[in-house]
Amino acid sequence: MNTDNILKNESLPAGEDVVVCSHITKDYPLYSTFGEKLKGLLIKNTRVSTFRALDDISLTMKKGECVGLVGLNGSGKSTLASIITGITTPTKGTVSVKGEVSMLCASSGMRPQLSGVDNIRFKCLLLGFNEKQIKEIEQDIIDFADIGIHINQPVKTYSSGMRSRLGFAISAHINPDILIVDEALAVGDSSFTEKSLAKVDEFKESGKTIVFVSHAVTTMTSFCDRVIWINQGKLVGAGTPDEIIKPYCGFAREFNGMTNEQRKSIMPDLKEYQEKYC
Amino acid sequence: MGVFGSVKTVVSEIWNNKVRLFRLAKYELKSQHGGTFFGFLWNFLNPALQILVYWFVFSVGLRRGDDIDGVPYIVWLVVGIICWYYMNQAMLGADMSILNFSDVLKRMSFPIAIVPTKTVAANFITHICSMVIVFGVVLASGAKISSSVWLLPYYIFASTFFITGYGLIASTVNVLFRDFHNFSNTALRFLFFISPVMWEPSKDNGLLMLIMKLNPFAYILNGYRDTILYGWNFSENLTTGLIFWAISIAMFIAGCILHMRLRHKFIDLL
Repeated sequence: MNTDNILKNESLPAGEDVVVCSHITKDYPLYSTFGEKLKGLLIKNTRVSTFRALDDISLTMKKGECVGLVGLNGSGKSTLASIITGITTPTKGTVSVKGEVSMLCASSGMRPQLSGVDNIRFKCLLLGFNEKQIKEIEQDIIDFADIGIHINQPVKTYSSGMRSRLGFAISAHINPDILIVDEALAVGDSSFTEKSLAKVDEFKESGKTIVFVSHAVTTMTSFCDRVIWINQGKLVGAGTPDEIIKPYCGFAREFNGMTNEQRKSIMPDLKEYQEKYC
Repeated sequence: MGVFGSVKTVVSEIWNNKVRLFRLAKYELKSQHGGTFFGFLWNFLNPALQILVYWFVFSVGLRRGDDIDGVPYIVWLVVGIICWYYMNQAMLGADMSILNFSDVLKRMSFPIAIVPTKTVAANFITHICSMVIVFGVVLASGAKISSSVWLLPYYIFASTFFITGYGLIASTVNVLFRDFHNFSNTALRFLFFISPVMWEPSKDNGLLMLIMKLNPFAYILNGYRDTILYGWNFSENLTTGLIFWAISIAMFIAGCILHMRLRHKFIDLL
């Protein structure tokens, strides 16, 4: 990814293309022996067997848009999300991103030995905040996480729900131009999920571009302007939630009933499923 | 990316994040001592207890060790041991640093070059605390602190630079081949015995003297002892110093190149 492109895009008009992926392919090498790994890593153009996680994906996202990514497990949603974030790079194709991208994640960057407050400071530091900024948002995060007196206890004593809530609360106080939400909302009880959704809504209101990766299709229907469906690394189609969600759910149900052989070869056709389920 | 570009990227990443680096190091230490009663004090207690053990073994138990050039063996040993401990711990910590940070690197775009560096920084902080204890021991033993002591920061810097270069190489290699950590662990144990940490090489043995000349650890260890205890002499340290810097700079440059060439492959391998 071209990092020179990263600049704050607040000045850009709504509707401008902020994410342009063209013909992205991502191959993960499958090394079977130590020698193969050595050769594959050090010598360019070595042939190794690969797993194709993304296959020739082209898409654009506009400023202020909320885009949903749906697909079965292992379809490449998260790989696509990390390519847009700039964490990993595509094997082929180009990504151009205008603005700062950040991924909302509840679980990473937490240190169990540290107290809740220290974890807030630590994770904010990882996210690139300076001391002054951390002081400003610290209380906000504590209030949002709403874990009461436990905030001064080590995180290892937290229940998994509390831990995720704290993680989400910290992560939600970033201020990027493009926000990637990868399965990060399903972390707490229903009241916390509601609060999290309200927070994401706030991002949406302020004109940020949001990429929403989730299996919660109902949330997606009400939330996203556009939904993109990927299957086995290939783009099945893109459209309004109404055009995509129902065919996708129908396909997912059919998929459950398939044999392993059928599963491997199936590539859904959007038109066919739209006629069937809309 | 060329040689110059790699070095420039790594150096600027470290330089631009210098404050963040030490604050991350602070939390790394805090996390290490988390849940203990003494907390940060362990940075002083650890070396003090370690010294106590050596004092017991060599001054009370074995009653071994003649004075080395007029300095009690235990004092000579303590300066060397604390210096060695810094390099040993920082190197072993740095080579695991990227692997141990994988949860962060997988989800956030983060300047990866500062990951091994922040581990070195954490060990640096611990080392500075240990040096306070070392000076206490030297003074308590009645040995005189040399007038060259103002050169000690140079040797601390030199060892830190050496470790940073090593850390860049080792942390990268370790992502690709996890066996490396086990090898480096063994190699360091071996190096402990061919460096003048616990014993001084006899000046009559030509081979040993050559090893000491080429051994970057020997340069640092002798530097610590000269500046603190014996007095430092420019011409005596010139050749070994040049060899040390040639090795260190070569290692740092190699580290930058390797790190930049493979950093995009890291994430898929973590």
